[in-house]
Amino acid sequence: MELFSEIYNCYYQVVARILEEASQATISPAEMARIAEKYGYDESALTIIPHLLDGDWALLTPDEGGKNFASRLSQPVRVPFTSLQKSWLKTLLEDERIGLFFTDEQLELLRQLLADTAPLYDPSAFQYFDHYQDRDVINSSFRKHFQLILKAIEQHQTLKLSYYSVKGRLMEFTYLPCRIEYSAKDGKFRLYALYRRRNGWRMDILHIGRILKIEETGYYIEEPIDMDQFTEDSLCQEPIVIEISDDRNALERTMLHFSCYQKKVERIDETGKYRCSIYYDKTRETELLIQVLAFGPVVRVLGPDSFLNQVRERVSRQQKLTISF
Amino acid sequence: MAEFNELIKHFNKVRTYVRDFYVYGFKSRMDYPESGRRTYDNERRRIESWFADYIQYDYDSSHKKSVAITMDSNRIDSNPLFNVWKTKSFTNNDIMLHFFLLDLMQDGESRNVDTINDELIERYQVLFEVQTVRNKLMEYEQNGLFMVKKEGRQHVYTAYTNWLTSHPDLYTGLKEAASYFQTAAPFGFIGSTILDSLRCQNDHFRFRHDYLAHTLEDEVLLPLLTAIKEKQQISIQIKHIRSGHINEFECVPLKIRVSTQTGRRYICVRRLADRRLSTYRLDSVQNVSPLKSESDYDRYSAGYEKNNRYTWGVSFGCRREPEQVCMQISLDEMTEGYLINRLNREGRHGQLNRIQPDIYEYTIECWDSAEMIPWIRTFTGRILNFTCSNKQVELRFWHDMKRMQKMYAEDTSETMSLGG
Repeated sequence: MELFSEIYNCYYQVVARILEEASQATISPAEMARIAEKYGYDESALTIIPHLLDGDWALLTPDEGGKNFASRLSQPVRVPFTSLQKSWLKTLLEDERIGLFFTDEQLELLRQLLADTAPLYDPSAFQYFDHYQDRDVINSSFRKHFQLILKAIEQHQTLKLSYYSVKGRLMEFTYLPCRIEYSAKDGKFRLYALYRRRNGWRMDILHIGRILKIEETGYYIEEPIDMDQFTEDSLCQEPIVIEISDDRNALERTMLHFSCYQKKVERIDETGKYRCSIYYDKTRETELLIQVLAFGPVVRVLGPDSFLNQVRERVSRQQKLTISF
Repeated sequence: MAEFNELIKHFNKVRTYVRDFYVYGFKSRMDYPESGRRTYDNERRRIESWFADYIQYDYDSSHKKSVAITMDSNRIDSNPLFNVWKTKSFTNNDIMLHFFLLDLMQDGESRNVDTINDELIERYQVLFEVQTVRNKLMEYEQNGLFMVKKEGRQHVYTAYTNWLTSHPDLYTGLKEAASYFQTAAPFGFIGSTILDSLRCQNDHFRFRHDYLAHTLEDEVLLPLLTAIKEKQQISIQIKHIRSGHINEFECVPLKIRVSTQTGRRYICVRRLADRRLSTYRLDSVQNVSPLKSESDYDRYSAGYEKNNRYTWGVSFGCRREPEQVCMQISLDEMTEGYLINRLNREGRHGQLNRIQPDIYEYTIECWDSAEMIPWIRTFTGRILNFTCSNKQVELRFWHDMKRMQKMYAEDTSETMSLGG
């Protein structure tokens, strides 16, 4: 089965969208360029538009004035799922998490539709050797909660949630659910939810596995909410700066490890070392601190003060423990 | 001079560049001496175009320009590196036939090649070679877009029905499942192509600890998984990460080992030459070729499982007996219960015992205790004692601790210059 195929090409997607617009009304080259800029790569319009206008890709017909173009297709094209896409979906049917997205009837329908399709791979060929052991258990209650949350996110409906706090206290609160976050490392789903205060919305992050009960309120929020702004607010003001020596393949290991963060790396020619600035979410500072400590002396924290002091405090506490033992 | 083209013919051609620009982000043209100047410039320009929103430029101390692809994987709706999978080059006939054939066949009627070719001329006034049309039909039949059956001496083609036409109620589930699994399952870029087909994007999910570069390994991952499924031997080419030296050998692939904490994926194999279990990072695998079936596959697989019991990470060590590791942790049971939780959930097959109030002992047996050291170090500030049957590992641990104490005890001019 071919993974790298032109069927999935970005240019095909752009042209399909242009043809779709051009099937309803004629379309100008400027409109085509707008679509190519939105859905294509940075320089795609420079290739796609001339090919469409010059007739190398004879998919459009000019109108009488020759300024606007209509699609030669009779209707917008709907591409059936390919064998590769079906095989991937078939593999997912073996994953318990697939039940979070479909009803039992829909899952049965999918099984029927994919009856003649072979799975792309055998999931048991993978071993996730370091994931945490207290992963979310996907049972019927979890599934029901997840589906209610997903529906509420889509409909902008607030929900009354009863859940156990980190300290184990049962809380009840009305939230507007906005996003679901998943971590492969700890196998947990978290809900980004907003609650209203006098001066506006505030955000909480709730572990879905701790939710005991959900009630739909039937209350829908119409005002637009910019969730990115909420997550942006928790971004650090100053990045942590670390110096990496290249002992024990440290550069390779650190770069891979921190690749999921936004970062900037410089080579310091005089020392043969590297300086890396990592931008992180303030609410997850301890996690980053632990990650940095794991590298030991091949990574040295240079700043900022608040982070450096935490490292110093732990190292100093360790020194005292070692001496006293 | 050949015209610049955003599209490429072979995925492998750009794999290293994209990975380097994303993972390292400081390399400049000088770091690719084996590539010609124009090759580097073309690859860099492609990457700048594919990842325009995530490109960061910089100049190093010797004023060499470097290009980095950088983003926080927690703040994006889709892996931008999937873009590489959507850059396969094509011909003018490819794109025209793609749209004409799908449009023509969308009515669900069955047609033979000649009829199709006649209708293409009649409807779209474009003339194609019959063989070109036949090849495209065969290609699309293999890709699952059309089905074919034989009627008399002719092949008759019919388009498969689009699921959303026949089962529109599946739309929401497919959209959400593809949005989630494009990151949470292997070969996520396929999920991304499903979202493209549905003309939608991931609106509701975000991911933590998502190592985006995995997608670049998928081209070698598929033949490895196929060989595991078929219980086959393979010939594998491994590029040594540091020296760049390429080594090719025959082996039996047994398991894909994935680290969710460090972002690395490995293939575990039984090498035929020395009959040993070995693991290699997937990003070092250059090529995989299937060989014959392995009649002893189940025995090798059982051997892997037996050894797996004592594996902390990916190393099977070089001794016959596992090494013993013991760590004592000091904590405040009243206020620091989360540390006990951490030890339990992250400690894999190790044992945790309370040896006295506020002191816990974690013990484990593993093939290669050196692999555990990074995790042990995450408890810096809590470690009362650390011992290991491999004395080299134990000495190194304490030596590193001393280095860290020295490193952070000194008030350096470096920290001062950073305002610290």
